[in-house]
Amino acid sequence: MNEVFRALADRTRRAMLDKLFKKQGLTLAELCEGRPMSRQAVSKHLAILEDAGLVVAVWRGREKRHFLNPMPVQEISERWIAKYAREKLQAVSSLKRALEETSEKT
Amino acid sequence: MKKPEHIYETYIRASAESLWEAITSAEFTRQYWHRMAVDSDWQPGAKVRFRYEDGRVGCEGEVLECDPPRRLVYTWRFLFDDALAAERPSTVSFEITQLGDSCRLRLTHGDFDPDSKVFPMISDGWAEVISSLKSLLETGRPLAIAGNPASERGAA
Repeated sequence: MNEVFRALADRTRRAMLDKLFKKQGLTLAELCEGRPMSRQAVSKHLAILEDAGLVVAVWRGREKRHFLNPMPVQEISERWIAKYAREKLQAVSSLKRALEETSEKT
Repeated sequence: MKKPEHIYETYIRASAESLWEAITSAEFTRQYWHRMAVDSDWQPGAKVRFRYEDGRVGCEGEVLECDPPRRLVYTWRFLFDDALAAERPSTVSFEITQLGDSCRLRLTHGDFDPDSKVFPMISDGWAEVISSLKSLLETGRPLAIAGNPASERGAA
């Protein structure tokens, strides 16, 4: 689970996961599109996501496609969210939102 | 043209044989798979049916490949909704790889048409089912999620 948290602790990698969430099965080239980053850098981030199990890469014909694997996040949600009351968390997050909105105004 | 597919991969502390049994026997599936009992003789070409407790068939398919305890592939069609049932069947495959005292389970659900209505709705469902299967094999109890016998509270 450490690897999952480490992999998620990076904005670029989270954005890559969001991109795969919207469209599964992207190639490295497709994942690079619209990202001001070298192919090597994207590939390095992908390797970290794969090691953490958050992304699974499979060959489809001649293309290596990348899939968001929801299982590690599902396991985190069970370990950390299902265990504690969801309602309490919702209350905390709405409190946080309310406080942030207030502080933005001041 | 790429066909949409979902892939789920997890590691389960169990033998390949017990994992195989858990995905192919009704006694197991009704504990973690929305109370549905699987029914098939697992020969290529044979029907696969998932039945609710009242006997209704929720999903059905046909066995394409069966190589115990490593690889199982069958087609998949939801029957509980007319629009979903009208879709061309998709394909579910289970690949089990023993790694020491654990197994890697990779489930691929693919061969959907690009405009499939089933494709976007199954994602969370599979994640819960697989997670509950993992919990059942590792701890003897399925997860407390809606639809599992040991989790009436979760269903509220």
